[in-house]
Formats: sequence, structure tokens, C-alpha cells
Amino acid sequence: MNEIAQFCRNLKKDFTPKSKDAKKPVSCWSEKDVLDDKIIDAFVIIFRTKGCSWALNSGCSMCGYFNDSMWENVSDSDLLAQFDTAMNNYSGQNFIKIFTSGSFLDDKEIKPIVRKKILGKLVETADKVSVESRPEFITDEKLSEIKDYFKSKTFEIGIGLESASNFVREHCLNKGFTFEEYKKATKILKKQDVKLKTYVLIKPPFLTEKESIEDAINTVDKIKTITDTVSFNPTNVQRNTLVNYLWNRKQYRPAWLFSVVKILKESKKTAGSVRIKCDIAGGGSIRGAHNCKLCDRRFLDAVYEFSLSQNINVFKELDCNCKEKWLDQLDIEDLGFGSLVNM
Amino acid sequence: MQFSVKERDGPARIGELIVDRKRIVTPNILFVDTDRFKTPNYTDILIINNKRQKEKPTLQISNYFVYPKDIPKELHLLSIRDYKKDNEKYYVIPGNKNVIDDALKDNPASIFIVANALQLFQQPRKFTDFILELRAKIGYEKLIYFPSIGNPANFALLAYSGVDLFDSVSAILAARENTLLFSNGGYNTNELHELPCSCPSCSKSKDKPCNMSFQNILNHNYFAILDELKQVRNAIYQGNLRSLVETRVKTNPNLTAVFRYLDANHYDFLEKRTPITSKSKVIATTKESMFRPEIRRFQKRVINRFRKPESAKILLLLPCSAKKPYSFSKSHRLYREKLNNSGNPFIAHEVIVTSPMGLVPRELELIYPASSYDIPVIGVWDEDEKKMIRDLLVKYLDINKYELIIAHLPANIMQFIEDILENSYNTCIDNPTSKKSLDKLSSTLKKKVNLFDKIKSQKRLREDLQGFASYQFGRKTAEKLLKDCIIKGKYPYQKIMHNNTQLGMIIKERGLVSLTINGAERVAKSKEYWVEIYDDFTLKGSVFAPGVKDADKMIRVGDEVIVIKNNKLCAVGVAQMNGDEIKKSLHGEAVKVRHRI
Repeated sequence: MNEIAQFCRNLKKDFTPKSKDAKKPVSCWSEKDVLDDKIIDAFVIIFRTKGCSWALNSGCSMCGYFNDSMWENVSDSDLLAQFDTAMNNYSGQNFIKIFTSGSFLDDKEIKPIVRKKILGKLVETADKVSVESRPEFITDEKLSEIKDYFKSKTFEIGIGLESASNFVREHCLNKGFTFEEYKKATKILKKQDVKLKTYVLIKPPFLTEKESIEDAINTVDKIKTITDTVSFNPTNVQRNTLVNYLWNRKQYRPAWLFSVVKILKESKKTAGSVRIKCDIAGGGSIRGAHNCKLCDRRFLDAVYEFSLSQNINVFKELDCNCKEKWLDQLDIEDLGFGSLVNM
Repeated sequence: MQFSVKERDGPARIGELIVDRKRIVTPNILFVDTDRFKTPNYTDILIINNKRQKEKPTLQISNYFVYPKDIPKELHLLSIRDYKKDNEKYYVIPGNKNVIDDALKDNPASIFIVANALQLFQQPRKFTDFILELRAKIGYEKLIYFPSIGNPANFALLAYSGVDLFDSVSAILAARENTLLFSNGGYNTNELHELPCSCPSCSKSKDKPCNMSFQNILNHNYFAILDELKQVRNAIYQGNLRSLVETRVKTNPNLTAVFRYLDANHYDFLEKRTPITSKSKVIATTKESMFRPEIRRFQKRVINRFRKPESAKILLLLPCSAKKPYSFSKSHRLYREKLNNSGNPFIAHEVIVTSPMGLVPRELELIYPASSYDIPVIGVWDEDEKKMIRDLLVKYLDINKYELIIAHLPANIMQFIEDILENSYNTCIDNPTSKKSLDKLSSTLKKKVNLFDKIKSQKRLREDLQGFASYQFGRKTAEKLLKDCIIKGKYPYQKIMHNNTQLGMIIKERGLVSLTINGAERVAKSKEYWVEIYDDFTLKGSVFAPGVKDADKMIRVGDEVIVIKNNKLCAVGVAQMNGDEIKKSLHGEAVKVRHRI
């Protein structure tokens, strides 16, 4: 599928990175999460790195996080300066989540020595640290080194599988790795006793609303025995992406929140022991998962609550007149042959 | 799945589609039949997305993967490569002009379903270019299904763009928005004081419009789309779909944009498919009427094919009359009376100045659409009309030379053409039929016609008919047809006679020369308006398309054509398809034969 890769590459041609200041992280904040079945505060840091290796090559069709990256080498001292800036806001949270808009385990983004400095510092105060990586950077050597100083503390890696369907990943997402490669990486994690969070995309481009629900549920079914956590990401329309290109031309609509809720309920039923969460970036806006303007807030609140409590009863009272339209879309979208993307 | 075209009116056609051994007339509406939407019982054909058995003819759609239309061509080519062309019923084609060739290659499908129809239709240029190219490439015997957007306001335009199949989706979408569909647009029930409809669904509803249920609105919409579908089909049968389109597009700028773009950029495509005769009148009440293909064709032929009668030296310009053909009107009877009493009437050539036809030489007044059009007359000409008439007049006078011009035209015409007319005399004082004006016309004619040698009636009759035949067949063929002939019979039923043999006759109702076998022999010599059938094809009744080897591209529906076999004339008749369709089709009646050898 060089063609979709070429298209994703071309869409990035004319963009300039959002910020040119390599000494400042993209962002950092505190948010609620769950640790040992208790709701706690987690600290989040987003590093500004050179960028995701895959995005620098061509990139996924829905991912616009490269907009936050520098697209040129970020020095070790700059990265550490970002870390210092972020840690000025740190207030002792037990759970720390690190994002790079790429792979924390990619040596080209974060050199091993910097990685060690950051993790080594965090593990002094936190009980759990979570990072993200593409599967190709997950190796025995890297993990055993990290586990050496993590000892009994929890180390978690998030992998953006997006879909268990190779067709979807190849023809819709340009994901650049197969389900088998994902599984191979997860075996290494298991061996090294590293926790696994798997990101599953809701509403890849080119699928109907109904197909995307089926794809998400099917994906959970395929990974429920592999992953510790499933984190659903409903696509939001990010700049300079293929999804944005389609959205501008009325050929893409982000998921309905009804669909998100349906997926969460089904997933919890089929994969009860797995933590199911969902972070809806841009939720309620036209660029993010949304229903009608009237009910979006209630749905977003319920999804947030579910992500913490894992209790599907929070969805019980949810309803809205716009449900009919959603049901219509599920029922007849495929008979629109692309016309009924926005119903 | 078998399909044959029965009637043609512009790119629109009435067809017969055999689905599941049942006969469906097209254009038609595929009614969505799903878990949520049960199709009403009065529908002809269904579209479904699962595997339920249906008693009615059904188009069942199963998995397809087509990239959205604006994705780069390379990606489309991939999905086209992976999308097996083994379905003889339908094929989902991306709504992207650049991939049509690849999608059609070795494609056995009967129905082409246009993907992203809604997005495409919002871009008038892209839509028009796409749909016309698709039609040109798939030929006449396949169907175009344009999903999701067909509604009572745009069915006529879509059919006129060559679409054969619509669906009930817009009825559903509108109902969900509390919108009642009508041929002049959609009305939200919350904004209606009373229900402007008496369909079975609306007449049952006793409530206020704003209390109408979804199901009742949907039922109304189902009736509304069926009503308009029948209007469209009737219009195609009657040969006046164009008039229906002109009225329907008025309510929506996007529809008007598509329509204008079609006229402005695709004249050849439309003209080729526009019959040469029609049972219907051209009602020229809109700006778009001026650009009707048959009107532009008439104007072009007057300039390119027609030539003034050789012996005529005086051009007599006349206004049009409400009654058509003009010479059957009171006013024209008066003008002709003055001319006939002038002493040398055949030295003058009458040409009628009119909108939207432009210039109509008297001898072409029986030809459609000059023979049957109607326009609102208020005595004020708009700038487009003025320009059109001026342009034609300049061209016409450049080709056709007269010694002098007598203009019996009211001031509101004269003021915008006077500067073009050289050596002219104005005989209209106030209005053209007043006694003063007619007297001046009469005295001027008497003075001027006798400056020239007297022209014999028979000579002019023959020249006039040659002008008529030039319009119909082209000058070369007309000359051959009229050589050494005399004209007999009372106007308008004039016969072309050679010695005592009739070669042809003008039929007023048809507005064309119908040929006898002897006339056809003459036309056969010039290799125009011919249809060549296979040597082993035995001609019994009509000529059917599969028997045709080749045909003249100039042929239009309704044209008089000769049938050739083995380089010999074998019949003459009326074309039921244009030359291109006759040549390419594998089904259907190509020529209705009148005489056979």
C-alpha cells in the first residue's frame, strides 16, 4: 500500500510545526485515572521530540500528533530541559503518563541515556509509569534494562493497534505494522512483566458507522486475552491528515457518541476482566465524536465516569431524540455509497 | 438483467429493465427496504443490504469497498483492481471522473452506482462533467443509478442528465428533519400553517402540520417522489422533459447551476440526444429556454446549412406571430396578401425575426421548433435576446446576399438591428398590422419588387423546398434530391415530383420531408443519413440495432434515414435512435421503416 503512504506523506508537505521552542514540552497536566482499583490523580507529560518515526516516513491516516513535533533533532539537553519544566508542575502524583507524539522507546526520538534519566527520576516517586511505543521498538534488551530499575513498580506500554483487522490497518490507516507484529511485541511485554495498554480506534476513515462499531468490538474480542487495558480513541479530525482531507470534503464524520457507548458496553460484556477506557479528544465538537449539540455533554460525562468506574450502568439513562438519526445511519448508510457519511 | 431503451428525450430515456424476470420501467425509484424502513406496497423495485428473500424485484447490495471520490487516483486504482468485476448486475463506481476508464474496463455490470453522489452533486461542474463522461463511456444500454439525493425537485434534472435510477433515501432523510417534499422543494412541517397536500397520508392527518408523525411525513414523501417520477416519465414520453426541467430548477440555485453549466459546456452531448422533431411545444419562459439544444441547433443550421433561395433579391423581415406556423396566423396572412399583390412576390424572401429562434426563413416555418414554440411577449426585448438576434443577423447577411431589405418590424426590434441593415426600407409605422403600416408595406413592395425581373412561382417553390431539404439533409443532398424536380400540392403538404414520380413530401405534423423509395435513391448517392445493415440481415419490418453494421453520426432521433445493405439502398424510414446509438446498441428498434425494396 505505497499509495496510501504516499498520500499521507504528501498531506504533510506544506505544514510547519506548531512550535519551534524545543525547550518547552507540548504540555503537562494532572488528571484522574485509576491505580490499584482506586481513582487517583495522574500526572501527564507530553514531550516535544523530533517526531514519530512512522509519521516522518508517511504516517497514519488519522494521526495529527506530528503537528506537535519538531521535525528536526531535539538535543538531549533540550529534552531534559522540557522534563525539568514539566516537573516544576509535578506535585507527587503516584501515576505518571508520558507521551511523545511518537514512541518513547524509539532511540531516535529519545536516546537511551535520556530515557534512563527520565524514568529513573520518575520511578523515585511514582508507583506506575506509562509510556507509548510502536511495536518495532519493543525489545527484550530495552525492557529488561528498564525493569532493572523499576523493580516492583509498574511499567506500562501503550501500543496503538487501532484495529485487529489487517485490512483496516493497511487500507484505511496506513498503520505500518501487522496484527502479528503487535502480538509479537506483546509477548515480550508479558515476558518482562510490563503492562500493556492497547489503543483501539473508533471510526477509521473509509468505514461506515456500523462497520466501525463492528471493527472495534471485533478488535476487543481478538485482544481481550492479550491486553491489560483497552483504551478506545474515537478519531478526532486533526490537521494535515487524510481524515482532515476527507472531513473538509464532507467525506468523513467522526463517530457518534451513541456508537462509542455501544462499543464500551459491548466490550465490557465480552472482556470483563480487561480495563476498558475511552478518552474522547475533541468530544462534542464537529471535529470529534459527537451526537447532537443537546446531548453531547451528558454522553461525554458518562464515558468519562465509565472509564474510571468501569460500571456500565452509567449509560442506562442516556437517550436523546437524535438517536433515531444514528439508528438510521446504522441501518442505511451502506446504501448511500458514501453519500450518507453525515446524516 | 436485461435493459432496452424505449423512448428518448435528450439524455433522458424510458427504458425497460428485466429484474428477477419482472419488467421495470425506468426511470424508477429503488425503495430502501431494511430493518427500520419497510417499503410501501406500491413500489416497483427494492434495494436491500442483507440477504432477505423478496417477492418484488430487488437489487441486493453486498460488501463493496470504494474509496471516497476525492482520494488520489492511485488509491482508487488499487480498490478498482481489488474490486472484482464479476457482478453482472451492478458496480459501485467512484464519483471521480479520472477513474472512469479504469473502472469500466472489462466491466460486465448493467447498473452503475455512483459513489459519493451527494458530495458530487454539490459541485455542479464536477457533477455534470462526471455524469456526462460516464454516460458517454458506458453507452446507451447501461443504467446509471445516482443514489441518495434524488427528490421531487431534482428528478427531472437528474433524468435529463441521463440518470435512470433513483432511490427513496431523500424521502427518509427529509422526514427525519420533519420536511415534506414537493416538486418545488421541501417544507418543514413546523413552518406550515396548513398541509398543502391531499395525498393519502396528508388527507388522513387531522392534526396541525407540526404534529405530523415521522411515519406520516415519510409516507407523504414516498407519494411525493412517486408523483414526480411519473411526471418525469410522462414528460419523456411526450418529448418535453426539457420544459419540466426548466421549471423545476427554478426553486434551487444549485439545480440551476448544474443546468446552466450543462447548457453552457455540453451542447454537443445534449444536441446529439435531442430528437429532431417533437409532439410537444417549446414553452420558452425562462432564461434557459434560449439555450435549448433544439433551438441552438435550429440557429446553427440556418447559418450553416440553409441558403436563401437563389432567385430572391429582396429580404423581407417580418415579426413573428403568436400562432404557429406563422403563415396560419392572421397577421402573416395580411403580410402575404400584400406581398402576393405586389406583382412580383417571388423576388422577396420572408424571414421572421423572433425570440428565442432568432431568424426563421419562411420556408423553414414548419420545422420543429419554429413550428411550435411560445414565448411571453411584452414588447420589450432583453439584452440576451438582442445580442442573439444581432449575432445571427450579422452572420446570416454575411452569407446570404440580397439587393435590398424591407423591414416590416416594430420599432422595438428595429432599434437594435437597424444599424446592421444596409440598403433597407422600414415599412412599419406603428404596429405591423395597422392599416398605415400595411399600406406602406404594400406600396413599398410594389415599388421595389418590380425593379427586378419577374420570378416564376415554380422556380421559387423548388428553391424554397431545396432550402427546406438543405436544413434537413444538408446542401449537398438537398441539391441531389431537388434536381430537375417540380413542386406540387397545396402548402404545407408539398410534394417533390420528378416527371410523374414522387420523391418525397413535407408532412406538416412532422415538419420534415418524408421520402419515397425513389427519393431515397437520390439521397443514397450522397452518403448522408444512412444506416448500413449486415449483408445477411433480412429486412422484414423495422431495422433492429443488432442488424446494423454502421450508421451516420449525424442522425438524430426522428430523422429521415435511408437503409443500405451491400452498398444498395433497401429501405427508407425514421430513425428511432441517434446514429451513435444505432451503431453501438445491441437491442431495440433503430429505424421504423416506411418503404422497403
